[in-house]
Amino acid sequence: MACAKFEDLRLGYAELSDAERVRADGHVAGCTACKEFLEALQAVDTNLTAQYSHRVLDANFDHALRRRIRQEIPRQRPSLVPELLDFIGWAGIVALIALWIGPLIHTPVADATQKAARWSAGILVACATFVMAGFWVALRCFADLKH
Amino acid sequence: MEQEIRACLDQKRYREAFDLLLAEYRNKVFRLCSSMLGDRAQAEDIAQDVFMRIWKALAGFRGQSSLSTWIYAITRNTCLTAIKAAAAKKEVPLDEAGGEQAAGRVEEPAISRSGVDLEALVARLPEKHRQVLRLYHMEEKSYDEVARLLDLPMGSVKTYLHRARKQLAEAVARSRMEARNC
Repeated sequence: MACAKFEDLRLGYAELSDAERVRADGHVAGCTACKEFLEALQAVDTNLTAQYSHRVLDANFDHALRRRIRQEIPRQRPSLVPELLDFIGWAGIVALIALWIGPLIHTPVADATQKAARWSAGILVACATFVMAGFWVALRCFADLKH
Repeated sequence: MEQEIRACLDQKRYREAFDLLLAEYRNKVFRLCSSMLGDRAQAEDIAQDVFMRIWKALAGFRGQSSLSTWIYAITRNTCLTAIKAAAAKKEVPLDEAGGEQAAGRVEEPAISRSGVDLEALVARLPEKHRQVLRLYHMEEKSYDEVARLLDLPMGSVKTYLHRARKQLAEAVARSRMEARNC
């Protein structure tokens, strides 16, 4: 077997089948140049594997990276616009429902006390609606901040 | 893992997605940087730049390619930018900086006191040969992984590796022969 043709067998020595390896070993035993080349190749592979394998980053990398991200990319305050639009939309829906239901439940009042009680109840409902809407906006802002 | 990361991205949970992504790809990115740049300290710096870029671009990731393809493309581009910057500093034309012209053969083996300086020989290989060779040994000798990381066809990976190993082995065999003759 000529050495030039033997080259592929030499380079892929580790992946040879048993039959090919017997053929390659037979050639190497009688060819000094191929024997030296094979030894050099094995030395190269061993050294490179020792030099490059298991190359990993140390644990400080993540810490340094996160610090750099904090420094270079300041966290942006979330915009209030979507929350305000949400609020206006929901307030509009509530107002429409109130306008629709209002005339249905409207009954004439007998005296000023009943009228005042009805007003108080109305104001209470309005306040509760605003508190709930505020809570909704805060919740959305918190969700934005979290992500 | 990629599905988990994508789920986080879909729900705009970018911080969580980034944490998962960092844990999954930190060493892959570092090894790709190491294979392209050679120097460990520089590879660490560039790996940090890569993850900064990823963090900035994460919200814009549209999922047109796989996440790993996207990350490796950013890594390769960042490394190439670093290589160009280094070449510009040295005022050496880019072709030469890559070593393609000088490295048809590894002519003169670098000899250290302990024998042949293999890293010096590797540094003289053509750029692609060098990258494939380093990555092959870093990635547990997986042709497939090397091809994916460097975005090269499998056939090219095998060819570059074949040539690189041949050049190195010849140089080492030659230096051993010369040492015996002296």
